[in-house]
Amino acid sequence: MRRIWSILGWGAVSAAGAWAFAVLALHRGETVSAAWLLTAALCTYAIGYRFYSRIIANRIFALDDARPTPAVRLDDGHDYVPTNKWVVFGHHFAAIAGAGPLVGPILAAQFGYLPGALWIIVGVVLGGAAQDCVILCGSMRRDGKSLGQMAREEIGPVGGWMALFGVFAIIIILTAVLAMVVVNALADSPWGVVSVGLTIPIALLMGVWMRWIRPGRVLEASLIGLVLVIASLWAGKYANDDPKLSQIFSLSRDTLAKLIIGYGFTASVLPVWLLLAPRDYLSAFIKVGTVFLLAAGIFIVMPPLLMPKLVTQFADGGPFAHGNGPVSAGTMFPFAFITIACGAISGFHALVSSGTTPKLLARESHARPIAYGSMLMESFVAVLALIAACALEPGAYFAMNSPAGKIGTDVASAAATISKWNFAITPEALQGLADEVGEKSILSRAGGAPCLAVGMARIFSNIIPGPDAMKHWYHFAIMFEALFILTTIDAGTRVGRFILQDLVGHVWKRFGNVSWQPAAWIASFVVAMSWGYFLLTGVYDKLGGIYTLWPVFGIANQVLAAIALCVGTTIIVKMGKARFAFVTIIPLLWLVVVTETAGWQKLASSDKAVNFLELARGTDAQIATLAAAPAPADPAAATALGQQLSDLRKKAFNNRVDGALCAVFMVAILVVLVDTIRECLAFLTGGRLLGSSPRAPEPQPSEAELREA
Amino acid sequence: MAGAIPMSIRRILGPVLGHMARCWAICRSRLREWSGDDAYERYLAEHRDHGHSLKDGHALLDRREFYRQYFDRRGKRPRCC
Repeated sequence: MRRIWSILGWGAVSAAGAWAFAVLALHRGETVSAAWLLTAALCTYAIGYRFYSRIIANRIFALDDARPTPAVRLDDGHDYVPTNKWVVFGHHFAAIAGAGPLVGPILAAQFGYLPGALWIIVGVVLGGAAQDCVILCGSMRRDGKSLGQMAREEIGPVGGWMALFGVFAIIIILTAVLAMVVVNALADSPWGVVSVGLTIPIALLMGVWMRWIRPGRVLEASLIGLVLVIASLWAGKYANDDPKLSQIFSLSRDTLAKLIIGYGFTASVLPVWLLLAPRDYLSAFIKVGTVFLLAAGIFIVMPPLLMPKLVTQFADGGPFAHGNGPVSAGTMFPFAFITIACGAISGFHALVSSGTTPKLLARESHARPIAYGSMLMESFVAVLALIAACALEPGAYFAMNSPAGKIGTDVASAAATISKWNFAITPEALQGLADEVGEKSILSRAGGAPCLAVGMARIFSNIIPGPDAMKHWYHFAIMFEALFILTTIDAGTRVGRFILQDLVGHVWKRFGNVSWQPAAWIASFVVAMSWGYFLLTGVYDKLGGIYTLWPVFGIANQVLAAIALCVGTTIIVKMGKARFAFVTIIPLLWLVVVTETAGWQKLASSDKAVNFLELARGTDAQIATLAAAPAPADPAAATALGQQLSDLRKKAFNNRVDGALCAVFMVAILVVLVDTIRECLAFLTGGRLLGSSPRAPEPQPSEAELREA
Repeated sequence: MAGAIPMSIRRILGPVLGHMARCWAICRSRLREWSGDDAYERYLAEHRDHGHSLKDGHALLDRREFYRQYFDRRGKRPRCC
């Protein structure tokens, strides 16, 4: 009887999900309610968790609570600590969910809501959550080993080095791109600069409180921090309204970029307790709180999606899906799947799944809800972000997310250009929206943060209306996003520093000592300058920034995911479960196709907007033309020409660097893939293995055996 | 004051309030564990129960030093995009 009810129940869930997908895909009216997107997502997640994650948990790893976890066997009260399931879930979710699931879907909304929605929902069930779960289970069975260690032991030394390189490269590019998002959100915004800037002294105060005044009183300090952060919103408004302060805190993109690079370096060398840890607490509480608030807001308001399901045609004659999108360059395939990484599948998660989390699991069965469940939750956050972006008028969306090089720098030219794309918008509407949120301009604030902030402010001010509600909610949302992006920047610089010290430590042992201050300073400087370089290239290039850098970040992240899936496949095959290796092979093949196609187009596409090398060649031609022209007699004009030439040379060089990076990523994924195939075949045919792991993982002693011992 | 509330309402409210208080206590305890607010108490309890926190003859850490090390470990965790 119970079985019949179960079949009927899950049949109903499947039917509801299928119906919701059908409405989303076949709807021909003006707008469609966000309720359909939410229904499709939740039903798919339920089915994915119930049936697909069960294959990983039961059939592949045969998770068994009688088998003691590393946290139980190696409990040292520090690194290995058996921890409550929901507490680990909270740690894991806070570590994997950052700005990525918010920014990526917003940028991909330029293709319409359907491609992004399908990739987020289907990608997470078959790809992202499966990857996280396999890596967590694999690491748990190997005493909490890191992805790099597992790659070395399972695939061989080349795989290990590639994983380490992938991690370092992604940290550099990720940090640059996220810093770019903050720069674009805070440029010429005194309100935003003051409220976000004040979070630094607030974090310092919390740090001193938790270290010296009331050691370890984390909740107390966080509460004080939260109250002060809310107060900083009003301080920002005061600075915005005061003409003198407003002028002082209206910072250019260039100045902001340099300040953020300095911040990243300083945060990396300061003691963790002083800045990083308190900021981490502050951002974690605000992040979780705001995500729940956004979910509640969307469920209450159920906004209609104003963006078309598929944006296929621009008035300039070129099909939009064929690569002339203004938000990020490239065709829908493969770039929609590169633009959305976190939320569907993200290689970075493999670092979290193979780092702290496996050392905290009290029971093997907890791995399933923690890895698979929290990835589904992150995907849901991405769906919410997509809804917030698609609920805006498309004209306003494109005005906020297109670079100045595409739409101009004033509302008249932006409105004229965007209206030509079949998304009618007036200059008055664009200025009105800027006034509504208390900004001078909302144009070209690419990076998703301001767009999401406007979407969130619309939803929240519908629930709690009032005078200036839009302004306050907008700046609250900006502060919330900037806060956790800055946390990722300082944590990223620090983790990058550790990796660099570790790498150099192989050659110069003392440099590898993380407590040795000169090494810490040098490594922090190198890492901050590395991501700072990419950040500045985005700031100086009118088409640069998010338009250029986000696809590179997407490729890097997906390459890391492919490496993690290679590790996962090898683990499954070596466990003697090759018939279930489809769980990792399906997303792996998809990622290889997507990243190799994207990388190839970035190097060899005939579209000049996509191909880095074409862009560099075009810039070279511009340089040649300018250099060949007779030098102007006017000294001011000559200086301007010199500056222009210098900028163009930088641009050409930067495009070549981006192209070289794409080439390296393409090679890296192929090398690891070939090694994986070779290792798996060697295992299956009894050949020589490159990896140092045994043919099957050593069986762990049971609890009874341990007790006996 | 308690007498002012009719017995029937008290009978209904009592278990509800008791249940809410238990829920609050669980939430608070999970929140403290998640944030590390009770990490030192757990460290002391672990030491009391197993004594395995004292490695290589190191003395039991005081609260201040414990949290310095605790935050240092937190700083090494990657934060995703």
